[in-house]
Amino acid sequence: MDDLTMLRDLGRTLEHEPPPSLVRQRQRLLEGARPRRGVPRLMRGWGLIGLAAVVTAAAIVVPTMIVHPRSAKTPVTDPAARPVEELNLLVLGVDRRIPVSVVGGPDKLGARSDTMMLVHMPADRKKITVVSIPRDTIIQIPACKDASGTSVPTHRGMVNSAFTDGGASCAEKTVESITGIRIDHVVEVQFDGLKNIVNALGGVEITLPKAVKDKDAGLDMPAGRHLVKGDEALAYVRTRHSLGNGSDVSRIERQQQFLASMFKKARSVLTDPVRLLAFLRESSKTIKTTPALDVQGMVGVAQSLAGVTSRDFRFLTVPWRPYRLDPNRIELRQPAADKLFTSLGGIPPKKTGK
Amino acid sequence: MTAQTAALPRDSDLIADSRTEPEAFAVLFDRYAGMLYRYVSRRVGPEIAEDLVGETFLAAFAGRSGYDLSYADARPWLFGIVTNLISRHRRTEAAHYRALQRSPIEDVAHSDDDRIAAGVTARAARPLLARALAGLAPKDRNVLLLVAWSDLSYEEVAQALGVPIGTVRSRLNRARRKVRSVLGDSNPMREEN
Repeated sequence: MDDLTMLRDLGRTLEHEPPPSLVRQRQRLLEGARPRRGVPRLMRGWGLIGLAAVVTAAAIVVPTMIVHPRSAKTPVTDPAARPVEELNLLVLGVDRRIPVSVVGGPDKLGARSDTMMLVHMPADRKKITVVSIPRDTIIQIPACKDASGTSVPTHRGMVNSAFTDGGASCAEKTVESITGIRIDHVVEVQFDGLKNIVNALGGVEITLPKAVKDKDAGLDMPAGRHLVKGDEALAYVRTRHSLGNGSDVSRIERQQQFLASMFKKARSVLTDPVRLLAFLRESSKTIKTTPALDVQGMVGVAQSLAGVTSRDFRFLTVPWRPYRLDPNRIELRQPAADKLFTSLGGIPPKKTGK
Repeated sequence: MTAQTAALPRDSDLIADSRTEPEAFAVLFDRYAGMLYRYVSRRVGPEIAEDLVGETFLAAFAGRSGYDLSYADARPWLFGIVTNLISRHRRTEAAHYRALQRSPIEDVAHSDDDRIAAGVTARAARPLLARALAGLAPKDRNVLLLVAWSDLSYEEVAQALGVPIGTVRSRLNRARRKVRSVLGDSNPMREEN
């Protein structure tokens, strides 16, 4: 047997099949490719974070916290106007449209959290870090109680299943347990609410490279520029099959473009007080904070963010690598992940058995 | 490897398009990311392969304006870039081969009898091969592994590495001589041919 044949044999043994997560590198390429085409700097990191980022930006970054329609009726419970403190938010993009059967048994909530971001605002508010945790990250989920009060024992699973298992509190517990970062508020953002925000903005412009007809998603549009509103907007960002190459990555890419367009629109609207109010009202209907931020809390956050510009944001994805037992999943890459958590003031748990 | 029919744009067309339409470059990714991943995983293992493939395409994208459009096939170009990037991970690569010398690797199932016989020989030789690879000069190793582990012709390897084809031949010969001597020195199972 000749040396080249043996070498080829060795090569075959060493070879690994590309994992599905390789598509992320494609996204990285596209992100690297796009900035010159005028996507604002703020947007670059948003692609991986996904759609809920839109609403979140609307909810947290933009002026939300200044005005809250229900705030007037909410008693001020905050004991004191606290000085500016470090603030950690866990933002969940929640899709309640998912039929229960898809999510799991009848005991499940029928809601799914596809987007999970940790927003860290240090006390000086100089640099705001947004860390997205991919939904297919396999981690240890602590024991939680489900909607009916039944205990779900601790187990390894996809990070987004924590929300399905036990709602916002379980998601919070899970993220706290892996990062050691104390979470002040969980912010749930409804996908469905997006359309109201888009409407409040007066629609968002999109460009279709070719005509789209997707019965499932309820889309039927010719190629070219469109001003989309309401359900159409939602369908556009949600559909996976009739646009692009059908992958989640192409959807993320589309959502990113939508985001950019939406932000452009939002910026122009923000100078119009009447529309701004509508915008804020819709944004706040779409989000739910646990524990709820009260007026003082919100005003405080808003004021503390007054000097923050888009350049002060840092968008990261938690360090990860393909999951050893299933290349379709990923897991935290250590020690990089713990290092990140520590830099954000967390105290990650000591690893046992490793 | 990729039979390019008339309906498909050639790599060079895509690169030309990408100069004005950056998104066109993603098609190149779809064509070759898997191929590059397999190659990189052989050399440095799967842990950093994904990242390296990503970096390869970012570097290629950044350098697309310098691509000579008379070459329709972009594979030599991409292999050249990935080879450069791998050389930054020489330590990882060496450790990868060293690990191979220590732990026997599971074999892929061979179906028929003579493949089993050949498989046994090959398997026995693996730690030695790994040692031989680790001991090669980086330039020689690059040539040897492009020849053995990619589908590139000698001419394409020359193009990938930016050296004359004569250099490819001489590096390849030197590398193979070394590998054979390591195998011959200490492998009694090696068959003469």
